[in-house]
Amino acid sequence: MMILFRSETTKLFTNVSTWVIAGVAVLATWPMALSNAGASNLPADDPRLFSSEPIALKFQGFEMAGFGYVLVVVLAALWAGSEYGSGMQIRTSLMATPKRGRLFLTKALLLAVSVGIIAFITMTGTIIITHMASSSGLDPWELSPETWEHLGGVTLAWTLTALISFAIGSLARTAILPLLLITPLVIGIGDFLAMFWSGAKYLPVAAGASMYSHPAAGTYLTPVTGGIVQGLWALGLLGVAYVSFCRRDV
Amino acid sequence: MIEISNLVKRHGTSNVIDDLSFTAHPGRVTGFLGPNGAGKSSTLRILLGLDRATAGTALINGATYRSLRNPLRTVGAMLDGPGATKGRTAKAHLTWIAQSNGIPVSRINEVLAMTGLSGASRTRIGGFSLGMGQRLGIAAALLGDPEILVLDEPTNGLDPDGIRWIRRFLRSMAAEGKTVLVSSHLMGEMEETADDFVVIAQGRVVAQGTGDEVRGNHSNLETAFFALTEGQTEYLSGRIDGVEQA
Repeated sequence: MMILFRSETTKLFTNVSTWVIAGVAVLATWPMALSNAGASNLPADDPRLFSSEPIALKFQGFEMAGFGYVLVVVLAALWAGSEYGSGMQIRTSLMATPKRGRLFLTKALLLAVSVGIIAFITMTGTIIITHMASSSGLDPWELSPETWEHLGGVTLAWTLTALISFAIGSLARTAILPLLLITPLVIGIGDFLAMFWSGAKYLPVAAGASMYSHPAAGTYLTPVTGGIVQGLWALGLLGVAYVSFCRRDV
Repeated sequence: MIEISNLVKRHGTSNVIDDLSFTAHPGRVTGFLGPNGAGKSSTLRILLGLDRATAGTALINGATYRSLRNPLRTVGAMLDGPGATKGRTAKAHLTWIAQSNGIPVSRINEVLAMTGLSGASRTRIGGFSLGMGQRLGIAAALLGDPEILVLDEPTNGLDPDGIRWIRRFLRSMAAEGKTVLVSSHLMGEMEETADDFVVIAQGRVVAQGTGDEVRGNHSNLETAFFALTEGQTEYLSGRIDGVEQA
């Protein structure tokens, strides 16, 4: 299993798009967080702000999660879809590792670890920068337990969403379908739907957002319920993709 | 040794492969021939564990491909070119393949040299010519120094020099005692290369044996091939634009 993990790691990280996506996620989100926090150096309840509802410290900075979130969806879609591109690399992969279940699980695990690391670095840096650049009153180097919980939540949400994107890409054998289905959810279609359909909070991205978003910013489940719902989405789709990956002709 | 026994592959109601049986032996190049759509690639995909057979078996040294541990050390194969994404370099592509089967990475430079790609090891595969792509596929097949080689139409798109290189390469592999199975739809191309021939059409074997056995009473193997596959191609044999040709 370790030689397979090593081989798939080489495959993932010798693709230039992986580094571009990971780099842009981190290096674009951090300056945006700095700009966002520094540009409106106003008290959180200042009436000139778009929302004069004070945002609790433990939620500040997490609104910057959206940009990198889209990028990890792209990374996961490409990770699944690139196997089925014009080169049909999947045939080489399956000839090298005919134990298909093992290959699928290794690919999913590697993606989860990679996205988890990208998410954690991106969002931890974002939260620290947010508190450094604003007058939030929170020591950026001593984040509260609640903030750490939300950092864990956002990391888990990105990771589970990436796995959902990967599962759909594997099922469809293309990167296009997960991008079409998941990207709109990540950029807020779920929140929009939630305005007139209460069931929208059970959509995978909205459920995941329950783990790190301010409850007043949308219609959310409790963090634990949200995590379970998103986890079930990921597990269900990965299960279907696993069976399909193991059984179909290529 | 490769043994295909009573192999059947059904898509819907039609049999792509219909009770196909043949054997490829060590130390010999076996030409697997047939017109486009005859079932050659489907047979090779089943042999390599990529497709499932409806019935019958396709075995490598008595075992299915999927049951082989580190299969690239036993079987090297190329289907449809290099089987690689375009954004990766040749060396990176060969590195992950080698790692997946516990093959020392030092072997990568050897196979790049054997296929004349040493100078292109750090070139992205998207920048490769058709011939370079074919050679990269062969380099990947050779990584595990396998005793069995399975190549699907390796001369597709190659220039005359490339075709000659492939012929010499296949003969040298057989001379080393390896089992070499090569598919082609061009009998003339295989005539100088293969020791044994298996000719299929519409999923069935229509002839097999040495060159002399397959040639029979025909003047050459190509004529024999056309006679054997007459009326079993994907298009109307002998007609162009609805006009019967001489």
